[in-house]
Amino acid sequence: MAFCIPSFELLQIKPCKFLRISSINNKSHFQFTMSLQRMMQMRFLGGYPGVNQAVGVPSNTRHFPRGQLNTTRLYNLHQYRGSGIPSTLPRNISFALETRRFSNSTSTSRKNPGQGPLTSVPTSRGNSLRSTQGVTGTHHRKMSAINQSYPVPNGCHVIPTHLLDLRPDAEIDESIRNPPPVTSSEKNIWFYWSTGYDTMHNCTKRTVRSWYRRFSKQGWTIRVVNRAARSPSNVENFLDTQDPTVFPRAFIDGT
Amino acid sequence: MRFPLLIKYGGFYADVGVMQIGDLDRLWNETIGCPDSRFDVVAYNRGGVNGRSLTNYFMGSGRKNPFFERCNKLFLAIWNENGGRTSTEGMHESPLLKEIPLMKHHCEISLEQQKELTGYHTHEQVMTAVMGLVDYESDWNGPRYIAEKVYGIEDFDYSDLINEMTGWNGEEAFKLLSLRLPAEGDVESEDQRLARELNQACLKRSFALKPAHGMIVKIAGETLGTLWRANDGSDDVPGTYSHWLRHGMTYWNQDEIPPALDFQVLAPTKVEHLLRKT
Repeated sequence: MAFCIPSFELLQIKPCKFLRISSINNKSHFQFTMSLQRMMQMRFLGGYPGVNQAVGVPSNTRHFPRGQLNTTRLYNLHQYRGSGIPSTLPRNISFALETRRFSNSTSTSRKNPGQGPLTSVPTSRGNSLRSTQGVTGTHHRKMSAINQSYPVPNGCHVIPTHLLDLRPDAEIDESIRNPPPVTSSEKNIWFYWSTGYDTMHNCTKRTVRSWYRRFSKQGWTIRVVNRAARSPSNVENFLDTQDPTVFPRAFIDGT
Repeated sequence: MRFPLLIKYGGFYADVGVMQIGDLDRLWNETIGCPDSRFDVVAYNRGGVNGRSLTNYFMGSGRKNPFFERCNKLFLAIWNENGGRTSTEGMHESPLLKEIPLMKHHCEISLEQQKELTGYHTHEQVMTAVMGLVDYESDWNGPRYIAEKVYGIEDFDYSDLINEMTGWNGEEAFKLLSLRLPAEGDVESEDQRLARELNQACLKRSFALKPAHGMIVKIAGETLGTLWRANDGSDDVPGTYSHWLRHGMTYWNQDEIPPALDFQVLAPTKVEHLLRKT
Protein backbone atom coordinates (compact mmCIF):
# COMPACT_ATOMS: atom_id res chain seq x y z
CA MET A 1 0.00 0.00 0.00
CA ALA A 2 0.93 3.56 -0.26
CA PHE A 3 3.36 4.21 2.49
CA CYS A 4 3.55 7.92 2.42
CA ILE A 5 0.48 9.89 3.27
CA PRO A 6 1.21 13.49 4.00
CA SER A 7 -1.03 15.01 6.58
CA PHE A 8 -1.07 18.23 8.41
CA GLU A 9 -1.75 18.91 11.98
CA LEU A 10 -1.95 22.14 13.79
CA LEU A 11 -0.47 21.80 17.18
CA GLN A 12 -0.43 23.90 20.24
CA ILE A 13 2.85 23.43 21.99
CA LYS A 14 3.09 24.22 25.62
CA PRO A 15 6.43 24.88 27.24
CA CYS A 16 8.21 21.56 27.34
CA LYS A 17 11.49 20.20 26.29
CA PHE A 18 10.39 17.70 23.75
CA LEU A 19 7.49 17.37 21.51
CA ARG A 20 6.09 14.04 20.54
CA ILE A 21 3.82 13.77 17.58
CA SER A 22 2.12 10.56 16.74
CA SER A 23 0.17 9.84 13.65
CA ILE A 24 -3.39 10.98 13.66
CA ASN A 25 -5.12 7.65 13.50
CA ASN A 26 -2.67 5.80 15.74
CA LYS A 27 -2.43 3.05 13.18
CA SER A 28 0.97 3.86 11.93
CA HIS A 29 4.14 3.07 13.74
CA PHE A 30 5.66 6.36 12.95
CA GLN A 31 6.24 8.86 15.62
CA PHE A 32 8.36 11.90 15.32
CA THR A 33 9.87 13.68 18.18
CA MET A 34 11.95 16.76 18.02
CA SER A 35 13.72 18.78 20.58
CA LEU A 36 12.56 22.19 21.50
CA GLN A 37 15.98 23.41 20.44
CA ARG A 38 15.26 22.26 16.97
CA MET A 39 11.83 23.82 17.02
CA MET A 40 13.37 27.11 17.96
CA GLN A 41 15.89 26.74 15.21
CA MET A 42 13.10 26.13 12.76
CA ARG A 43 11.42 29.28 13.91
CA PHE A 44 14.58 31.24 13.22
CA LEU A 45 14.74 29.87 9.78
CA GLY A 46 11.12 30.57 9.05
CA GLY A 47 10.02 27.03 8.56
CA TYR A 48 12.69 24.49 7.95
CA PRO A 49 12.08 21.65 7.09
CA GLY A 50 8.50 20.59 7.15
CA VAL A 51 7.55 23.17 9.69
CA ASN A 52 6.19 26.58 9.13
CA GLN A 53 6.07 29.04 11.91
CA ALA A 54 2.95 30.73 10.73
CA VAL A 55 -0.17 29.27 12.26
CA GLY A 56 -2.36 27.40 9.90
CA VAL A 57 -0.08 27.50 6.91
CA PRO A 58 0.43 24.01 5.59
CA SER A 59 4.06 23.41 4.98
CA ASN A 60 3.55 22.15 1.51
CA THR A 61 6.72 23.52 0.13
CA ARG A 62 9.25 21.61 2.14
CA HIS A 63 9.63 18.04 3.13
CA PHE A 64 11.51 16.16 5.71
CA PRO A 65 14.84 15.00 4.49
CA ARG A 66 14.82 11.27 4.16
CA GLY A 67 16.93 10.26 7.07
CA GLN A 68 14.90 12.06 9.61
CA LEU A 69 11.91 9.95 8.94
CA ASN A 70 13.82 7.00 10.17
CA THR A 71 14.32 8.74 13.46
CA THR A 72 11.70 7.38 15.71
CA ARG A 73 13.41 8.22 18.94
CA LEU A 74 11.05 9.04 21.73
CA TYR A 75 12.87 11.37 23.98
CA ASN A 76 12.17 11.17 27.61
CA LEU A 77 12.02 14.59 29.14
CA HIS A 78 13.83 13.45 32.21
CA GLN A 79 16.65 11.81 30.36
CA TYR A 80 17.64 14.96 28.65
CA ARG A 81 20.58 16.57 30.29
CA GLY A 82 21.71 18.99 27.64
CA SER A 83 22.18 22.56 28.72
CA GLY A 84 21.09 24.28 25.58
CA ILE A 85 17.46 24.75 26.47
CA PRO A 86 16.74 28.37 27.18
CA SER A 87 15.11 28.97 30.50
CA THR A 88 12.45 31.30 29.24
CA LEU A 89 10.32 30.29 26.33
CA PRO A 90 7.38 31.80 24.62
CA ARG A 91 4.26 30.16 25.86
CA ASN A 92 2.10 28.24 23.47
CA ILE A 93 4.12 28.27 20.35
CA SER A 94 1.84 27.46 17.47
CA PHE A 95 2.93 25.99 14.24
CA ALA A 96 1.91 23.60 11.61
CA LEU A 97 3.75 20.38 11.41
CA GLU A 98 3.80 18.07 8.48
CA THR A 99 3.88 14.46 9.43
CA ARG A 100 4.04 11.54 7.11
CA ARG A 101 2.74 8.21 8.08
CA PHE A 102 3.75 4.86 6.93
CA SER A 103 2.43 1.63 8.20
CA ASN A 104 5.59 -0.34 8.47
CA SER A 105 8.96 0.84 7.40
CA THR A 106 10.40 -2.63 7.12
CA SER A 107 7.85 -4.04 4.77
CA THR A 108 7.76 -0.80 2.86
CA SER A 109 11.40 -0.92 2.08
CA ARG A 110 11.12 -4.44 0.85
CA LYS A 111 8.08 -3.86 -1.29
CA ASN A 112 9.27 -0.60 -2.72
CA PRO A 113 13.00 -0.75 -2.87
CA GLY A 114 14.46 2.57 -3.80
CA GLN A 115 11.13 4.21 -4.44
CA GLY A 116 9.71 7.30 -2.92
CA PRO A 117 11.13 9.54 -0.29
CA LEU A 118 10.90 7.01 2.47
CA THR A 119 13.30 4.41 1.27
CA SER A 120 14.09 3.02 4.63
CA VAL A 121 16.93 0.98 5.85
CA PRO A 122 16.57 -2.70 6.57
CA THR A 123 15.68 -3.28 10.16
CA SER A 124 17.10 -6.69 10.56
CA ARG A 125 20.79 -7.29 10.51
CA GLY A 126 20.17 -10.63 8.98
CA ASN A 127 18.64 -9.00 5.94
CA SER A 128 21.41 -6.55 5.39
CA LEU A 129 24.23 -6.94 3.03
CA ARG A 130 27.40 -7.67 4.83
CA SER A 131 30.83 -6.44 4.25
CA THR A 132 32.80 -9.29 2.92
CA GLN A 133 35.93 -7.26 2.68
CA GLY A 134 38.79 -9.57 3.42
CA VAL A 135 40.82 -7.54 5.80
CA THR A 136 43.25 -9.90 7.35
CA GLY A 137 44.44 -8.64 10.63
CA THR A 138 47.99 -9.83 10.82
CA HIS A 139 49.48 -6.55 9.74
CA HIS A 140 46.72 -4.26 10.83
CA ARG A 141 46.13 -3.82 14.52
CA LYS A 142 42.70 -2.28 14.39
CA MET A 143 41.18 -4.48 11.84
CA SER A 144 42.57 -7.64 13.36
CA ALA A 145 40.19 -7.03 16.20
CA ILE A 146 37.21 -7.43 13.94
CA ASN A 147 36.09 -10.96 13.80
CA GLN A 148 32.69 -9.82 12.79
CA SER A 149 31.59 -7.89 9.79
CA TYR A 150 29.26 -4.96 9.89
CA PRO A 151 26.24 -4.56 7.65
CA VAL A 152 26.72 -2.28 4.69
CA PRO A 153 23.77 0.12 4.56
CA ASN A 154 21.73 0.52 1.42
CA GLY A 155 23.20 3.33 -0.62
CA CYS A 156 26.77 2.39 0.25
CA HIS A 157 29.26 0.08 -1.37
CA VAL A 158 32.51 -1.54 -0.32
CA ILE A 159 35.62 0.20 -1.65
CA PRO A 160 37.98 -2.14 -3.53
CA THR A 161 40.97 -2.91 -1.33
CA HIS A 162 43.52 -1.66 -3.85
CA LEU A 163 42.12 1.85 -3.42
CA LEU A 164 42.78 1.82 0.33
CA ASP A 165 46.03 2.26 2.20
CA LEU A 166 45.77 -0.49 4.79
CA ARG A 167 49.21 -0.26 6.31
CA PRO A 168 49.37 -0.35 10.14
CA ASP A 169 48.50 2.77 12.08
CA ALA A 170 52.14 3.47 12.93
CA GLU A 171 53.11 3.60 9.27
CA ILE A 172 50.21 5.83 8.38
CA ASP A 173 51.18 8.13 11.25
CA GLU A 174 54.75 8.27 9.98
CA SER A 175 53.50 9.29 6.54
CA ILE A 176 51.30 11.99 8.04
CA ARG A 177 54.20 13.32 10.13
CA ASN A 178 56.41 13.57 7.07
CA PRO A 179 54.32 15.03 4.30
CA PRO A 180 55.74 15.01 0.79
CA PRO A 181 56.60 18.30 -0.91
CA VAL A 182 53.74 20.02 -2.65
CA THR A 183 53.48 19.49 -6.37
CA SER A 184 51.43 21.03 -9.12
CA SER A 185 48.51 18.83 -8.06
CA GLU A 186 45.63 20.54 -6.34
CA LYS A 187 44.49 17.30 -4.72
CA ASN A 188 45.54 18.40 -1.27
CA ILE A 189 43.67 17.83 1.97
CA TRP A 190 44.74 20.28 4.64
CA PHE A 191 44.25 19.93 8.37
CA TYR A 192 45.69 22.10 11.09
CA TRP A 193 46.58 21.30 14.66
CA SER A 194 48.86 23.91 16.19
CA THR A 195 50.95 21.59 18.34
CA GLY A 196 51.22 18.84 15.74
CA TYR A 197 49.65 15.54 14.79
CA ASP A 198 51.21 13.61 17.66
CA THR A 199 49.48 15.82 20.21
CA MET A 200 46.02 15.32 18.76
CA HIS A 201 43.36 13.35 20.60
CA ASN A 202 43.32 9.68 19.69
CA CYS A 203 39.84 9.91 18.25
CA THR A 204 40.81 12.71 15.87
CA LYS A 205 43.96 10.82 14.90
CA ARG A 206 41.72 7.94 13.94
CA THR A 207 39.65 10.34 11.89
CA VAL A 208 42.63 11.74 10.02
CA ARG A 209 44.01 8.24 9.47
CA SER A 210 40.69 7.32 7.87
CA TRP A 211 41.08 10.22 5.43
CA TYR A 212 44.58 9.00 4.68
CA ARG A 213 43.64 5.35 4.18
CA ARG A 214 40.69 6.28 2.07
CA PHE A 215 41.96 9.02 -0.22
CA SER A 216 45.75 8.87 -0.52
CA LYS A 217 45.70 6.15 -3.18
CA GLN A 218 43.33 8.26 -5.24
CA GLY A 219 46.02 10.90 -5.54
CA TRP A 220 45.24 13.02 -2.51
CA THR A 221 47.99 14.27 -0.22
CA ILE A 222 46.86 14.54 3.37
CA ARG A 223 48.73 17.00 5.58
CA VAL A 224 48.23 18.12 9.15
CA VAL A 225 50.13 21.39 9.29
CA ASN A 226 51.19 22.85 12.61
CA ARG A 227 53.32 25.46 14.31
CA ALA A 228 55.50 23.01 16.18
CA ALA A 229 59.21 23.73 16.11
CA ARG A 230 61.28 21.54 13.76
CA SER A 231 58.25 19.69 12.48
CA PRO A 232 58.28 18.90 8.75
CA SER A 233 54.59 19.87 8.85
CA ASN A 234 55.28 23.35 10.22
CA VAL A 235 53.24 25.87 8.32
CA GLU A 236 56.46 27.78 7.58
CA ASN A 237 57.30 25.02 5.13
CA PHE A 238 54.19 25.81 3.17
CA LEU A 239 53.44 29.50 3.58
CA ASP A 240 55.49 32.66 4.10
CA THR A 241 54.56 33.35 7.70
CA GLN A 242 56.14 36.80 7.54
CA ASP A 243 54.09 37.99 4.59
CA PRO A 244 51.56 40.61 5.68
CA THR A 245 49.42 39.87 2.63
CA VAL A 246 49.00 36.31 3.90
CA PHE A 247 48.85 36.52 7.69
CA PRO A 248 47.51 39.07 10.16
CA ARG A 249 50.02 41.18 12.08
CA ALA A 250 49.14 39.37 15.28
CA PHE A 251 50.22 36.08 13.73
CA ILE A 252 53.44 37.50 12.28
CA ASP A 253 54.35 39.20 15.54
CA GLY A 254 53.39 36.12 17.50
CA THR A 255 50.98 37.97 19.76
CA MET B 1 45.59 29.67 7.70
CA ARG B 2 42.87 27.79 5.90
CA PHE B 3 42.37 30.57 3.36
CA PRO B 4 46.11 30.97 2.58
CA LEU B 5 46.61 27.22 2.17
CA LEU B 6 43.71 26.94 -0.25
CA ILE B 7 44.77 30.04 -2.15
CA LYS B 8 48.34 28.89 -2.59
CA TYR B 9 47.86 25.17 -3.17
CA GLY B 10 44.18 24.38 -3.67
CA GLY B 11 42.37 21.30 -2.40
CA PHE B 12 40.20 20.92 0.66
CA TYR B 13 40.63 22.30 4.14
CA ALA B 14 38.92 20.33 6.92
CA ASP B 15 38.94 20.53 10.69
CA VAL B 16 40.58 17.49 12.26
CA GLY B 17 37.24 16.39 13.71
CA VAL B 18 35.46 16.12 10.37
CA MET B 19 34.80 12.47 9.61
CA GLN B 20 34.43 12.06 5.88
CA ILE B 21 31.87 9.53 4.71
CA GLY B 22 30.90 10.47 1.17
CA ASP B 23 32.87 10.27 -2.02
CA LEU B 24 35.09 13.32 -1.83
CA ASP B 25 37.20 12.25 -4.79
CA ARG B 26 34.17 11.98 -7.03
CA LEU B 27 32.81 15.30 -5.81
CA TRP B 28 36.13 16.93 -6.66
CA ASN B 29 36.33 15.22 -10.04
CA GLU B 30 32.86 16.42 -10.94
CA THR B 31 33.33 20.00 -9.72
CA ILE B 32 36.58 21.82 -9.02
CA GLY B 33 38.71 19.14 -10.65
CA CYS B 34 36.65 19.09 -13.84
CA PRO B 35 37.52 21.69 -16.47
CA ASP B 36 33.98 21.59 -17.84
CA SER B 37 32.30 22.12 -14.49
CA ARG B 38 31.02 25.56 -13.57
CA PHE B 39 31.84 25.00 -9.90
CA ASP B 40 34.98 26.49 -8.37
CA VAL B 41 34.19 26.23 -4.65
CA VAL B 42 32.73 23.41 -2.53
CA ALA B 43 31.52 23.97 1.03
CA TYR B 44 28.65 23.30 3.38
CA ASN B 45 26.10 26.05 3.61
CA ARG B 46 23.74 26.94 6.43
CA GLY B 47 20.20 28.17 6.02
CA GLY B 48 19.06 26.42 2.89
CA VAL B 49 19.12 27.75 -0.62
CA ASN B 50 18.70 31.34 0.49
CA GLY B 51 21.31 31.09 3.21
CA ARG B 52 24.68 32.64 2.50
CA SER B 53 26.67 31.11 5.29
CA LEU B 54 29.44 28.74 4.31
CA THR B 55 31.00 26.70 7.09
CA ASN B 56 34.66 27.11 7.91
CA TYR B 57 35.24 23.50 8.90
CA PHE B 58 35.23 22.12 5.39
CA MET B 59 35.82 23.97 2.16
CA GLY B 60 37.57 23.41 -1.11
CA SER B 61 38.78 25.23 -4.20
CA GLY B 62 41.54 25.35 -6.76
CA ARG B 63 44.55 27.67 -6.49
CA LYS B 64 44.17 31.45 -6.49
CA ASN B 65 40.44 31.27 -6.09
CA PRO B 66 39.05 34.82 -6.37
CA PHE B 67 36.45 34.19 -3.67
CA PHE B 68 38.90 32.92 -1.07
CA GLU B 69 41.46 35.58 -2.05
CA ARG B 70 38.93 38.24 -1.17
CA CYS B 71 37.95 36.43 2.00
CA ASN B 72 41.54 36.43 3.17
CA LYS B 73 42.01 40.09 2.28
CA LEU B 74 38.96 41.03 4.31
CA PHE B 75 39.99 38.72 7.12
CA LEU B 76 43.42 40.37 7.34
CA ALA B 77 41.93 43.86 7.20
CA ILE B 78 39.67 43.07 10.14
CA TRP B 79 42.52 41.52 12.13
CA ASN B 80 44.70 44.53 11.48
CA GLU B 81 42.09 47.11 12.40
CA ASN B 82 42.80 49.59 15.18
CA GLY B 83 46.51 48.96 15.05
CA GLY B 84 46.07 45.20 15.10
CA ARG B 85 43.89 42.89 17.14
CA THR B 86 45.22 40.10 19.28
CA SER B 87 42.07 37.98 19.39
CA THR B 88 38.80 37.46 17.56
CA GLU B 89 36.94 39.22 20.34
CA GLY B 90 34.93 42.15 19.06
CA MET B 91 35.58 41.30 15.43
CA HIS B 92 31.89 41.12 14.71
CA GLU B 93 31.70 44.82 15.54
CA SER B 94 34.08 45.68 12.73
CA PRO B 95 32.59 48.30 10.40
CA LEU B 96 33.61 46.01 7.55
CA LEU B 97 31.17 43.38 8.81
CA LYS B 98 28.32 45.61 9.79
CA GLU B 99 26.01 44.28 7.07
CA ILE B 100 26.42 40.75 8.38
CA PRO B 101 24.02 39.52 11.06
CA LEU B 102 25.28 37.79 14.17
CA MET B 103 25.30 34.04 13.99
CA LYS B 104 22.44 32.17 15.44
CA HIS B 105 22.61 28.57 16.34
CA HIS B 106 20.44 25.59 17.02
CA CYS B 107 18.57 27.04 19.93
CA GLU B 108 17.56 30.39 21.22
CA ILE B 109 20.73 31.88 22.60
CA SER B 110 21.53 35.11 24.33
CA LEU B 111 23.00 38.08 22.54
CA GLU B 112 26.25 37.53 24.41
CA GLN B 113 26.41 33.95 23.22
CA GLN B 114 25.66 35.07 19.69
CA LYS B 115 28.54 37.53 19.83
CA GLU B 116 30.87 34.89 21.19
CA LEU B 117 29.88 32.41 18.54
CA THR B 118 30.27 35.03 15.88
CA GLY B 119 33.74 36.01 17.07
CA TYR B 120 34.74 32.38 16.97
CA HIS B 121 33.43 32.01 13.45
CA THR B 122 34.95 35.12 11.93
CA HIS B 123 35.98 33.12 8.89
CA GLU B 124 32.35 32.45 8.22
CA GLN B 125 31.32 36.06 8.71
CA VAL B 126 33.98 37.08 6.27
CA MET B 127 32.79 34.55 3.70
CA THR B 128 29.21 35.75 4.10
CA ALA B 129 30.38 39.33 3.58
CA VAL B 130 32.23 38.47 0.37
CA MET B 131 29.27 36.43 -0.87
CA GLY B 132 27.04 39.49 -0.58
CA LEU B 133 29.55 42.00 -1.87
CA VAL B 134 29.53 43.80 -5.19
CA ASP B 135 32.84 45.60 -5.66
CA TYR B 136 33.04 47.25 -9.07
CA GLU B 137 36.60 48.42 -8.47
CA SER B 138 37.93 44.90 -8.33
CA ASP B 139 35.34 43.46 -10.70
CA TRP B 140 33.67 41.30 -8.08
CA ASN B 141 30.03 40.33 -8.07
CA GLY B 142 29.59 38.06 -5.05
CA PRO B 143 25.90 37.20 -5.49
CA ARG B 144 26.51 36.14 -9.08
CA TYR B 145 29.66 34.23 -8.24
CA ILE B 146 27.81 32.25 -5.58
CA ALA B 147 25.00 31.36 -7.95
CA GLU B 148 27.38 30.32 -10.71
CA LYS B 149 30.45 28.89 -9.03
CA VAL B 150 29.70 27.62 -5.54
CA TYR B 151 28.69 24.02 -4.92
CA GLY B 152 26.91 24.53 -1.62
CA ILE B 153 25.90 21.45 0.35
CA GLU B 154 23.10 21.73 2.87
CA ASP B 155 24.81 21.35 6.24
CA PHE B 156 21.76 20.06 8.16
CA ASP B 157 21.36 17.03 6.00
CA TYR B 158 24.88 16.34 4.95
CA SER B 159 27.20 17.15 7.85
CA ASP B 160 25.06 17.74 10.90
CA LEU B 161 22.73 14.80 10.37
CA ILE B 162 23.77 12.94 13.50
CA ASN B 163 23.29 16.09 15.57
CA GLU B 164 19.95 16.72 13.94
CA MET B 165 18.75 13.19 14.51
CA THR B 166 19.62 13.28 18.17
CA GLY B 167 18.29 16.80 18.70
CA TRP B 168 21.81 18.10 19.38
CA ASN B 169 21.89 15.85 22.43
CA GLY B 170 25.51 14.73 22.43
CA GLU B 171 25.11 12.50 25.43
CA GLU B 172 22.32 10.64 23.73
CA ALA B 173 24.37 10.14 20.57
CA PHE B 174 27.37 9.02 22.63
CA LYS B 175 25.31 6.59 24.66
CA LEU B 176 23.74 5.03 21.60
CA LEU B 177 26.92 4.72 19.57
CA SER B 178 28.78 3.19 22.50
CA LEU B 179 26.33 0.27 22.61
CA ARG B 180 27.37 -3.09 21.26
CA LEU B 181 25.54 -4.59 18.33
CA PRO B 182 23.35 -7.54 19.30
CA ALA B 183 25.07 -10.89 19.27
CA GLU B 184 24.12 -13.28 16.51
CA GLY B 185 20.63 -14.54 17.25
CA ASP B 186 19.86 -11.93 19.90
CA VAL B 187 16.91 -9.62 19.51
CA GLU B 188 17.75 -6.02 18.87
CA SER B 189 16.79 -3.72 21.73
CA GLU B 190 15.08 -0.39 21.22
CA ASP B 191 18.29 1.51 21.80
CA GLN B 192 20.22 -0.77 19.48
CA ARG B 193 17.65 -0.12 16.82
CA LEU B 194 18.06 3.62 17.27
CA ALA B 195 21.83 3.34 17.11
CA ARG B 196 21.59 1.25 13.97
CA GLU B 197 19.27 3.76 12.36
CA LEU B 198 21.68 6.55 13.21
CA ASN B 199 24.57 4.63 11.68
CA GLN B 200 22.67 3.63 8.59
CA ALA B 201 21.34 7.12 7.99
CA CYS B 202 24.75 8.71 8.48
CA LEU B 203 26.63 6.22 6.37
CA LYS B 204 24.10 6.40 3.60
CA ARG B 205 23.30 10.09 3.49
CA SER B 206 25.60 12.21 5.58
CA PHE B 207 28.49 13.39 3.43
CA ALA B 208 30.55 13.86 6.56
CA LEU B 209 30.06 13.64 10.26
CA LYS B 210 31.00 16.65 12.27
CA PRO B 211 31.01 15.93 15.99
CA ALA B 212 31.07 19.48 17.24
CA HIS B 213 33.85 20.84 19.43
CA GLY B 214 34.88 24.33 20.30
CA MET B 215 32.60 27.21 20.96
CA ILE B 216 29.36 25.38 20.34
CA VAL B 217 30.04 23.24 23.39
CA LYS B 218 29.60 26.30 25.56
CA ILE B 219 26.17 26.76 24.08
CA ALA B 220 24.82 23.32 23.35
CA GLY B 221 26.53 21.36 26.12
CA GLU B 222 28.49 18.16 25.70
CA THR B 223 28.70 16.88 22.17
CA LEU B 224 29.61 13.56 20.65
CA GLY B 225 33.03 15.03 19.88
CA THR B 226 33.79 16.20 23.41
CA LEU B 227 32.58 12.92 24.86
CA TRP B 228 34.75 10.88 22.51
CA ARG B 229 37.72 12.99 23.52
CA ALA B 230 36.94 12.72 27.21
CA ASN B 231 36.43 8.95 27.03
CA ASP B 232 39.55 7.94 25.20
CA GLY B 233 39.07 4.89 23.03
CA SER B 234 35.30 4.82 23.40
CA ASP B 235 34.86 5.44 19.69
CA ASP B 236 37.05 2.49 18.82
CA VAL B 237 35.66 -0.53 20.65
CA PRO B 238 35.10 -3.39 18.19
CA GLY B 239 31.53 -4.58 18.11
CA THR B 240 30.04 -1.20 18.97
CA TYR B 241 28.05 1.11 16.75
CA SER B 242 30.87 3.68 16.90
CA HIS B 243 33.27 1.12 15.56
CA TRP B 244 30.85 0.17 12.83
CA LEU B 245 30.55 3.82 11.90
CA ARG B 246 34.32 4.22 11.77
CA HIS B 247 34.66 1.01 9.80
CA GLY B 248 32.18 2.30 7.26
CA MET B 249 34.00 5.60 6.93
CA THR B 250 37.18 3.84 5.91
CA TYR B 251 36.05 0.83 3.94
CA TRP B 252 32.81 1.92 2.30
CA ASN B 253 31.69 4.69 0.04
CA GLN B 254 28.36 6.26 -0.73
CA ASP B 255 26.70 5.56 -4.04
CA GLU B 256 25.72 9.21 -4.52
CA ILE B 257 27.27 12.58 -3.89
CA PRO B 258 25.19 15.27 -2.20
CA PRO B 259 23.36 17.64 -4.53
CA ALA B 260 24.34 21.29 -4.85
CA LEU B 261 21.97 23.87 -3.47
CA ASP B 262 20.35 25.70 -6.35
CA PHE B 263 21.71 29.12 -5.48
CA GLN B 264 20.12 32.05 -7.25
CA VAL B 265 21.49 35.55 -7.57
CA LEU B 266 20.36 37.45 -4.47
CA ALA B 267 20.50 41.16 -3.85
CA PRO B 268 23.93 42.31 -2.68
CA THR B 269 24.40 43.16 0.99
CA LYS B 270 27.06 45.74 0.21
CA VAL B 271 28.06 47.64 -2.91
CA GLU B 272 31.42 49.16 -2.18
CA HIS B 273 35.12 48.39 -2.21
CA LEU B 274 35.90 45.21 -0.26
CA LEU B 275 37.92 47.06 2.36
CA ARG B 276 35.88 50.24 2.58
CA LYS B 277 33.06 50.62 5.03
CA THR B 278 29.73 51.91 3.86
